[in-house]
Amino acid sequence: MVSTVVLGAVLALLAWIGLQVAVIHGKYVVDKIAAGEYQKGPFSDTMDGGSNE
Amino acid sequence: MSDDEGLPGHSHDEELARDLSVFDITMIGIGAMIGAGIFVLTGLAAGQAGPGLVMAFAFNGFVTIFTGMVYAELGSAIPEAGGGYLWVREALGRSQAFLAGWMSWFAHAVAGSLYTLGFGAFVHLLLTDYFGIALFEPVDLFLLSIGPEKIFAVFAGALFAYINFRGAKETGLAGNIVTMVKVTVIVILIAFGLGYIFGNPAEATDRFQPFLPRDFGGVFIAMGLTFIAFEGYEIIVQSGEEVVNPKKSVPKAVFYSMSVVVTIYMLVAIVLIGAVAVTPDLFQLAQEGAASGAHGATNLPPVPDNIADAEVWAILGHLGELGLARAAGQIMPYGTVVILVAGIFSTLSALNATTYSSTRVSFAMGRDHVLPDAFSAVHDEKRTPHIATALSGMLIIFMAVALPIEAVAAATDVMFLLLFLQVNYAAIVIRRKWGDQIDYGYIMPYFPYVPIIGILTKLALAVYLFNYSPLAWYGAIAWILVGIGIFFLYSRSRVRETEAKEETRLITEERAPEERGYQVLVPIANPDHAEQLIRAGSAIARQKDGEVLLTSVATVPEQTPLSEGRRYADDQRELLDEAMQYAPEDVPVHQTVTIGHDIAKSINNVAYQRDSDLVLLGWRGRRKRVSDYALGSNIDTVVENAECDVAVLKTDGTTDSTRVVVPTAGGPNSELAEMVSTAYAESGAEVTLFHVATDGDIEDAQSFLERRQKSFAESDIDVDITVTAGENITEEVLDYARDGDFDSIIIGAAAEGILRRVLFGEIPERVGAEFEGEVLMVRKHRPVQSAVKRLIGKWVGKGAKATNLG
Repeated sequence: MVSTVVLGAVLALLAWIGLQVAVIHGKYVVDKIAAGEYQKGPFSDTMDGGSNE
Repeated sequence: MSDDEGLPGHSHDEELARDLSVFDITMIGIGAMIGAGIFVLTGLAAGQAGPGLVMAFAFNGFVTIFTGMVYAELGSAIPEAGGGYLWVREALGRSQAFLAGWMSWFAHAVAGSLYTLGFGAFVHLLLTDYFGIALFEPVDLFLLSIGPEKIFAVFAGALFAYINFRGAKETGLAGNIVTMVKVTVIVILIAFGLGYIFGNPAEATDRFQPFLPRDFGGVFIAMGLTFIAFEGYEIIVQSGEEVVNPKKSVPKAVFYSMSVVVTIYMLVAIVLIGAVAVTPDLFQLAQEGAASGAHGATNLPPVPDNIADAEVWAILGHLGELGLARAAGQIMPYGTVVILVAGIFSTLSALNATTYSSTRVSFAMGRDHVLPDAFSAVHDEKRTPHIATALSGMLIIFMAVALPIEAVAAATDVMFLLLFLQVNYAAIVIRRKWGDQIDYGYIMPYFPYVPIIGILTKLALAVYLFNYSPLAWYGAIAWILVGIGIFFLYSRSRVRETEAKEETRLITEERAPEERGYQVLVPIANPDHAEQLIRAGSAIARQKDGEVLLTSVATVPEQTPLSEGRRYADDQRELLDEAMQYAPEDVPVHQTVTIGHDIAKSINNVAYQRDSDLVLLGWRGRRKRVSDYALGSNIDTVVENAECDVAVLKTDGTTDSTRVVVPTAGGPNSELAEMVSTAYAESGAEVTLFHVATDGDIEDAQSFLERRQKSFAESDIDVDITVTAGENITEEVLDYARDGDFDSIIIGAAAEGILRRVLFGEIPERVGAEFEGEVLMVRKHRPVQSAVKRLIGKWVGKGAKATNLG
């Protein structure tokens, strides 16, 4: 059986990784938008009816 | 708030010098987060979560990033000093903004109370332990226990209220130095702690067991309790106006600061648990703390009698706000005194910021006229908002004195959590309304799930904090209730006045109003219908010994200021001049041209500004079956939002009504219909009250109409009554009116539910559409029901529209 310490460490690590993924994704989106290469957004609705992401 | 107040069109008359880089505002965000919160709250949180404190910090970082993404998106698109308050005001309207501002004022003030208490505790410890100064023991005053910490807290609160009154402001350089110092101190602490842990892995690992001594409940409480230490994005956004390229810099700073801070917090938690042993000194201090209840150690297991049974996390919990400082003494040389000094600087700089923020929020609310104007008063000499500063200072001091530190911390967290609920919701509304017009620098993924998760997680944390400090929730609820009371008794009417002034302008006033008691407002758009509308409006005004106000709305595009609208108002002026020929001699009739961006809103604004009792609208008699409107976009909007009685007249060109039938079933709307029919009767029409007994009980219906007939007779008006049995009320009314050669039907709106969206109801609207003569539908204003419906409509959508079912 997995001990609570290991479980807690894994959960904490996953939460931390999730946060870092959101941070890296955020930087990626900001740079893409600045470069005019980001197409997933509310502005794309009017152009191609695409996703809202 | 409506679509036509364009958030994307926000513009500045002034431009601030942009000289902050991504690094600068990232530091500002880190400084705001790694501040007083972590110095004061870590011990308290360790007592709740145990070694799971590491997880609590990680989870908090993960949960907070959802609202962080919201702030990154809106901060990149609208980088203005207003921040969350501005977004709520633009997206959800001024009433929601009042609540946001009211909560924000309290949140910042009570955060200030937390920092004053932290400051007081740190100074007390420094003086007694390191300078050997003996201070007095706590004194019980009524229900309060006043110790030296509270005296220091009051002193700090008063001092920073005075500093803010003087207008002295922390400079950017000093702010950065304080941030660098405290981050450096924390990093050194972590380095020493990790050094110990790597040198003694077995001992350190043992201290993490059991990992969740208080289960996940303790972790959730620790998350809620320390939430304030994770919210630095508001201040980053507030700095947005001074940032170079805010579209890129603001969202990046939000993310970078979160990444750094959460990592640091987790490391602090690891060293706090892993590198600290329960020494006899710590054990004794915890026993003393538990006995005196001085450190806000609540909801904790008691300190065991035997030191061997004591766990580090529980000892830290009993040391409360001094937990981190005491633990630091073991982790590094001079650790306690270093943490105390850093904590004193941190709490003071945070206190300065929160005093400034709470003053600024209450000042802005005074300027928006939702709080008394005194809040926006500026001192002649110092040029600072002295009254707002004084009241904010008093609030900070009062909360610090009246509540124990853990309740103050929990109240701060609850209020910020509730505030962020609104911001998350505002983000959804803003994206939906203006998403395709706003120039975003960052766009959150998985919209709207991200803000929805933000709402749910924050709500859950806030609610869960009740388990920790019910007192904090009672305080928060009391504050919100007081705010709601102030809003309805004071602010609401002033909000409405402000909106009306901003949205509408009256430009011609041909005859001064005579201040007659009752006023019928008659908007005129089509000259062909003017005579019929004026005849009906005058009859009602005559019956009530009142007056008629004619208006015609000239609309200008959103981009055009209302002050420029006069040049487009000539047609309206001519229309009203022509309509005046139908004004009777015995009723005062005035006219005014209205300039506005939106016809319906302008009509309601005029009715509000002129205190009209009834708005009488013309209608061509065609129902909208396909579109989202029942009678027409303008009529629907006026009827739904009017703050007085409303009547809609199907304009068939009739200029005289001699036979009028009034279908009635009782209730406020039917009574209004009867009042209007009285006006027709006094103008010479024969009136018949008509009732359809759908249950077949003719006798009961007859006696009901006889009572109504009697009440007419008391005003010397003779009316006929007719009862018929039938199931289809609409058909019965139409058949009776046609067979009896009636030329007018006056009918009250059907009863309505809170969630159902109806204008007049299926029966009146069908009668109106199908009857060949004149039909007047009337609806009584019911303020409470209207307010509740508007509120529900705002939060859950418009609801089902019953009028389209037929």
